Amino acid sequence: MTDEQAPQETLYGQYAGFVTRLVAYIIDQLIIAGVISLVTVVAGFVMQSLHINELIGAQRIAQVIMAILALLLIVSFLILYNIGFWMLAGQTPGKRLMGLRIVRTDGERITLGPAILRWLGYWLSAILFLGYLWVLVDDRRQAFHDKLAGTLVVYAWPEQEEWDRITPIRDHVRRFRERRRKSSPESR
Amino acid sequence: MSDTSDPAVVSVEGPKGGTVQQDAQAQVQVSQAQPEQPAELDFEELQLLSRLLVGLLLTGSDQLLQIVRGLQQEIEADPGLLTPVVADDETTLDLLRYLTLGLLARGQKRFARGVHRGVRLSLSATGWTLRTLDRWTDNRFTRPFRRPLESRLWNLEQETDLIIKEGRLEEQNARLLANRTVGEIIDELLDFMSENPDLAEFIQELIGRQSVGLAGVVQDNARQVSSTADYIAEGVVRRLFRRRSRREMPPSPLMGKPQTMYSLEGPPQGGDDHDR
Repeated sequence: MTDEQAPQETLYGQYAGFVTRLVAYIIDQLIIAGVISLVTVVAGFVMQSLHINELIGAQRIAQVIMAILALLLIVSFLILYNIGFWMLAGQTPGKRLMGLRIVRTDGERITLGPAILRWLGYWLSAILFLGYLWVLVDDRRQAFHDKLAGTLVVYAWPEQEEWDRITPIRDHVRRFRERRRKSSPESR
Repeated sequence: MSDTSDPAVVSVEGPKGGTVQQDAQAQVQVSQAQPEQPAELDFEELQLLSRLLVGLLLTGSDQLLQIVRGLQQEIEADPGLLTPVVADDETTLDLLRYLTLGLLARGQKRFARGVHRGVRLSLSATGWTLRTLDRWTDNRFTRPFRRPLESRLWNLEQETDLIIKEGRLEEQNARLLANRTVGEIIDELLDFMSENPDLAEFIQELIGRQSVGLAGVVQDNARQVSSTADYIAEGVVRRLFRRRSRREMPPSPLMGKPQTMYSLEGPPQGGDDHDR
């Protein structure tokens, strides 16, 4: 922390930065990967139990149809996960964990149109990751998909209150660690 | 914890050198039921662990259910708590959520009723079928065919009884093992804490602050660290691109508003690029 702007007293409502958004994104991807893996394992088990693999056999067209179906299911899940959570809660589970929320530029709840635009914008942002990296230089920390959909990602956790609540415990842990370090044989 | 005076309890030397208390009768019965395995030691470890796991699950779920039941009774006892409240700003999505929850609750009740009725019906149907079959086949023509079947059924019944007995004993054993293991761990923890008063003090403080879960502390720390990292990363990139560092961010539409889920009023505030 040198000449850049230091975090203010409370972060609530401020634009969320690149690192927090990246961490939230990674958490979401892990959840999505977990769900898809689980469904794949269960589907595989069911297919094996019902001998569907044998029914399909070596028929090329059947294999292609199955692959397309699987792809469609995955894409539908991705759309439902993102757009569904954005619209219902204003945040995906990853964003919830990191205390972020998506709002329209007027501070209102995101609606279906902007949500779809935002999801499509993800793919635009993914080109060389430029759209995502734009968060680092943009004044309102908007990625390309945010600009396209007219949305903002803000910190939405009552930071100061939480911080006050946990500070005594953090201090205690710090003091405890210091005492432990001083009393450890290496420090003598 | 090492109650060796109880004649029904024996100390068994565990595979890792520890001592595991087990019910003597259970030990004898269970080991009788198990055939000799070549890798006996590994099997015993696995069996102990699975027994402990079963015991923990049974005891834990019992206690949890007891707590939940008590809380539910408390909620139901206060009529003011369960009065439906209709919020003024209920949206279609809220209604959809209530509809889903209502359907789920109703479905659960119907499912439970259906299962109960199904089990009762199938039991009475089985009883009736067996009784009828017995009546029809109890004559001198069918008796020679019945005898081998009856002896098999008799064996099956005996075997089932034996398995049930074994299961009963296994559950008792698992619960005992889980209770004593948990007790042992708590004793160890208390010993450790008495040797480390700092830690004890810290844990007491944590427990005293019931509203702050450990997960919450970790989460808050992660949020704080990542939000600081946001500024650092931004500063580094701005320096790399020789951009002037940020003095002030444009006001966000949620800043200064009450910390609720959504701001429901107000036009966009600002949003101009201040430092370009």
